[in-house]
Amino acid sequence: MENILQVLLNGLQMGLLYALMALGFTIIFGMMHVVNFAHGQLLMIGAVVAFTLTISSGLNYFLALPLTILIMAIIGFLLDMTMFRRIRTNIMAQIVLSIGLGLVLVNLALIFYGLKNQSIGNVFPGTADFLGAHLSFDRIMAMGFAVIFILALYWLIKKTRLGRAMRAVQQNPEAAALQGVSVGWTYGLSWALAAALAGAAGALMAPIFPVGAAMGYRPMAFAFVTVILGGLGSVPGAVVGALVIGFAESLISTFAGSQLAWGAIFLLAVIILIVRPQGLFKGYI
Amino acid sequence: MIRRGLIPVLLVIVCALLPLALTSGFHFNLVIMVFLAVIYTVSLRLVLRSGLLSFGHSAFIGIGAYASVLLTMECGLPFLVSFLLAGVVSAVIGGLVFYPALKVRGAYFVMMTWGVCEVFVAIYKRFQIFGGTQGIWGVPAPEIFGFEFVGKIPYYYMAFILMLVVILICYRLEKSRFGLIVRGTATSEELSVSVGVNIAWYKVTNFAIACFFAGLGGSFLAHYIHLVDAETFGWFFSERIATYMLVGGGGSIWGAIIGASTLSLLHEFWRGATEYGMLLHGGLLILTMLFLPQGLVSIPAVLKRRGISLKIFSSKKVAGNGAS
Repeated sequence: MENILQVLLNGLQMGLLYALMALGFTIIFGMMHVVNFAHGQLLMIGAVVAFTLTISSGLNYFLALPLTILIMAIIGFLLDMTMFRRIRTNIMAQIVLSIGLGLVLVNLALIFYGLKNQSIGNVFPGTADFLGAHLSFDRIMAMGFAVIFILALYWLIKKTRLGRAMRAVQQNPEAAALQGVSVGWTYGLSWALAAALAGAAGALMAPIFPVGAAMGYRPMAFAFVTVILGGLGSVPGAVVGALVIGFAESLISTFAGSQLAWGAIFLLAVIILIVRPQGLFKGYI
Repeated sequence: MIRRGLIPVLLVIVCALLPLALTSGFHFNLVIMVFLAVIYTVSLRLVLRSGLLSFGHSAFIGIGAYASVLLTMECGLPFLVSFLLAGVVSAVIGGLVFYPALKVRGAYFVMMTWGVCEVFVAIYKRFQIFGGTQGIWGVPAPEIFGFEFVGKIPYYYMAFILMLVVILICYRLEKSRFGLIVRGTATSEELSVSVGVNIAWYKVTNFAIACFFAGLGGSFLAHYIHLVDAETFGWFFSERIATYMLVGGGGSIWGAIIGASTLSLLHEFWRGATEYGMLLHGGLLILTMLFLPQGLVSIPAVLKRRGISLKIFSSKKVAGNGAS
């Protein structure tokens, strides 16, 4: 019998990382109604950048983390400025564009980073034990940072001028523009924010999981299920949904095999879209 | 000046005579794969005509493939029967999946169909009757009325005829009363309801027809490559078909054909040089969407807007547009 506390802690840790992914995904979806199929690749690029900064350039991880986030934010902003802005009204074209972008990012990583599949190694060596469950310090650190980023994002969206502008544009771009909100900048900054969150998730995963060009697909698939679970465009919904997915993945994988976990989670998403497309928690949180 | 109606006739003649010019099995395979891609893409466009972008077409291709393989190998049915039944099974399952999802649309539909795709892949991998993660190997070659498929040529003509039939039916469907009503439900659902159209019936039937053709294509694919593998029917396959359609241009059946043939040809060519090939492929998707958001099929229109006219397209139709 597996230690149930261990399973729950693993679920919590994955859930928090999925939440970072899902938040970026939901920001872009809520604002632009675009399913960003390149989102997982943004996570991968974030991890690769963190890897390059720490291993190849020998930077301290705590310097590399904010630097990665900054680089990813700039990339996100540039992606919107150069590409997505040009076809803002054509949602199908934006979906194809994001697929093309995903292909380009994966293959750029394969060309410049190579087929390597290695983690950047321990930032804090050692493990914490309590009640028979083990959790490495790196995982605890990743959880801590994830919580900080989620709270920071919540504050940004609820309390700052940018957050108000984002919510206004989400509700009605024309009305927001009439009130003096620069819609173009708001879209660009939302992209920067989404890419930064994906990059943060990638950089936090780098010490724990192997960094490779294919690492983005699974988190992206789960981000998409999460966002369906929590209601598209909802920030608290994405966090709760990610935790549910994290626990579900951990529990089902442990007790019934990971293949079944994958199928069951997608089946859940399909059923929710059919039965309750507004998400499970709409009206409760 | 070449009349527009001549182009399809010329294309059909070229395709029918092409085996005379093709020498290696590699080239035959290339063209057969293009035909299959056209079948998938043109049938996917039926779904697009009802206003929905499906990212789950490969699920229904997979259902057709597995159904046909199981019917021939487990039940011992002749190929032609299981081929047609595969289409029917795919259509029925498609209708059953789509009916409860009638209210799901837009980006939500994209996501739902993606999920459907992954669920089916998980089912194939989980249950031993579908061969599990190994897939099913040694699928027999088709045999129609005692004629056994040997070499590439029978496959070539079967794929070619199947493609022609699918294109013709989809084309007729588009111009028919049925097709116009489906189009109407996409443009304005409220208006269609108010004139007494049973939207659910039309949309579900339309989706089932698309799945029927996908199932036929899947059945052919399984018997052509002699194996079915769960992994191939995953989301990447759906994504490819959807990009073929949108890069070619979803607005017309020509767009689907052009997109499927150009991109699948490039895809087959780039199989050797994976990274750089896929990099170019992704770049092509990005550039097409940035500069031709209506797809490759809109090139003549875009050129015309810029004041450059192509000789072959300056037929009566263009003159008529100018006068109006």
